[in-house]
Amino acid sequence: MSFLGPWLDNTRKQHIKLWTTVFFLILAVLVGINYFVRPHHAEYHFDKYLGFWPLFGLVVALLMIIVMKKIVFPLITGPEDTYDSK
Amino acid sequence: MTANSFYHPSLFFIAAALILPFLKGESWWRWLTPIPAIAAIISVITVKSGMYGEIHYLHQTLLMGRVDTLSKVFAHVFAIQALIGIIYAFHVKEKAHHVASMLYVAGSFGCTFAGDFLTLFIFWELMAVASTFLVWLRKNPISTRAGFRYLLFHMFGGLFLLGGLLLRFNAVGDFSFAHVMQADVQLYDWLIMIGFCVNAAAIPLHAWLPDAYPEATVPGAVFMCAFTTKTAVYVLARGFAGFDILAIAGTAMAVYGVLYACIENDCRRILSYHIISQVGYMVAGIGVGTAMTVNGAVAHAYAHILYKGLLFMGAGCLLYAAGTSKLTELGGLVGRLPWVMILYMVGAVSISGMPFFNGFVSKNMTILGAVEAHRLAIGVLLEVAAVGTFLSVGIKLPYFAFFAKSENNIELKPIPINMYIAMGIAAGLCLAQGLFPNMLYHLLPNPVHFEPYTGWTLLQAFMLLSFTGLGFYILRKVIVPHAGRNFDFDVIYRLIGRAFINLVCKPIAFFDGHWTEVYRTGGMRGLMGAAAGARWFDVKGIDTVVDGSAYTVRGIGRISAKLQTGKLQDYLAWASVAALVIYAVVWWK
Repeated sequence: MSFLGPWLDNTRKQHIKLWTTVFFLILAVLVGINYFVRPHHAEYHFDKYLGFWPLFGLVVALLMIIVMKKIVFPLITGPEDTYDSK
Repeated sequence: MTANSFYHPSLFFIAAALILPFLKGESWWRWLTPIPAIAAIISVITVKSGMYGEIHYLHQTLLMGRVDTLSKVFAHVFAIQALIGIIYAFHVKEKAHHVASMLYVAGSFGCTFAGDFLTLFIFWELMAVASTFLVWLRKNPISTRAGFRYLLFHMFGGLFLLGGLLLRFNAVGDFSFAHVMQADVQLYDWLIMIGFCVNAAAIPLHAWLPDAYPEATVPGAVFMCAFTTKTAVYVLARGFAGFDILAIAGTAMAVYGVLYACIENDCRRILSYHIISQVGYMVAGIGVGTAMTVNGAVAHAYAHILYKGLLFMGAGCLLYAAGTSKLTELGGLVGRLPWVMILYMVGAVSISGMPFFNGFVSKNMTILGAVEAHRLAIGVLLEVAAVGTFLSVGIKLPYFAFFAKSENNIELKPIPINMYIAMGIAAGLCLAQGLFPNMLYHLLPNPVHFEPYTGWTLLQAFMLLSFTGLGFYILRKVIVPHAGRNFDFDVIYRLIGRAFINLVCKPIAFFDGHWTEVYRTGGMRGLMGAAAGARWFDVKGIDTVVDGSAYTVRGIGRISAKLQTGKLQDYLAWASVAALVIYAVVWWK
């Protein structure tokens, strides 16, 4: 049990480059497979095109982070003890 | 058809809750706590469908045990989760905590098997009261206040249910709880549905959930995340499947929850918003109302209870060990809590719909069911929610809790082994049901024609999730959590509450002021005269008779003075005990 923690700690600090490369390789391979594998009948029409779901995931994630964190968050946040200050 | 071979799981938990306070000793009694859960599992697995436990009361027929495929699947997972929760809470030496959680679970089973609205209502309120204690038992001023807000809101929701069932009784003449067709829905049906929707945390009635759950005790939150909302999902599926408004409400919940989770800082508040989101999938599936989407909703409830419990257990470990669940104060803990990270991640990939884990099967069943019912917009928005789920629960939370910082020297309390065991069981079940979906399929209310694992569905899921990861990677400096309390609909509740109090109090204060004036001038004189007459009667006639009974009254007075602590919490506890005793008397009459 005790080797697991130090190993995880070590690998995340020492091999960050390696993990990033592996991550991008996976992304590339998935899109590569998508070139050959398409839905039998497209559920949403658009998903018969190459790269629809990768684009969907990426765009939704980017928009969600930017809109919520940069625009909405400053508008609706208050001090942590808002309800407990009295 | 009435049979006698059903041992209602609520009975096990209520009996245990009533016995537990009388057991002496420091902690040996903890070994007894899993018994009611194990008995419940056996009872639910062995029971045959049918109607059990009819009670005739006030010319009404009440039904305690309606056992059919729909109630059985919910009871099945409730029993398993009760056992997991009890194991997770095993180190707790406070009896009140175990009693509260057992009564809460008993309430949930009671609702699940209730065949009529009156039985449902009684157990519904038992759940609300018992779960409030799981918040209060955290025993700090913040949780005390959060508990009161939680209780107030659930009483408010309960009143809708009560009003609806009484109006319905007036119109129909019985309390029977059956499916309502959308075509002949009445005002009382809407009231009942609103009562259910409060517990399902439907927008805009949801803000109690992310307000109270993060303030509950560590094991208390594990119980709460499983039972309240999923009992509401069950009664919605039972009564209101196919209601279009639920399809819309559920989709809104699914998206709304992930948007808030994206900007939250507290681990357990992130997970709370994701309860709203996940329950949204279920409510949407119920609203669409085809055999496949109702199956999907039920399957999702089953899977959700397991993985959400696991996530709350993981976040609870962080809170227990580090004393905080704020992401801004955590980070860099992977080396020190590796198993918490790994077990948490099993829950995280399950909720995100990663192939080979149970969320993948149930989520896709709901989404594809909606698409096949030609509800494309619902399908797409549920996919948006899936992206948001992986973003917050699958990446943001673990990244900022376990990674992000290079070191974290925060002092960590050792985590009891029972917490790891409970998480291990939940993680094993999440994986097993993902690998063998038939475990889930044979429990579902409708026949299943759905093959989750095809080349395309696997590829689609992996592409969606990994490119969500790319989005996080690009904006990882933007999504960094910040301390703060985000306003939700609770701001509006407060405004309405204040306005209501003013509306009630101002006229009363006005009237009270003038009445005092009138009373002082006119009323006193008459009262004094009457008092003089009464005193003469008292001294001459009554004293001799009453003196004997006065000693008895004084004795009772002493006991009741002890009970009158002036704390609403204590009164509530006594009231629920009294209610249980009365109910037991009626049951065995």
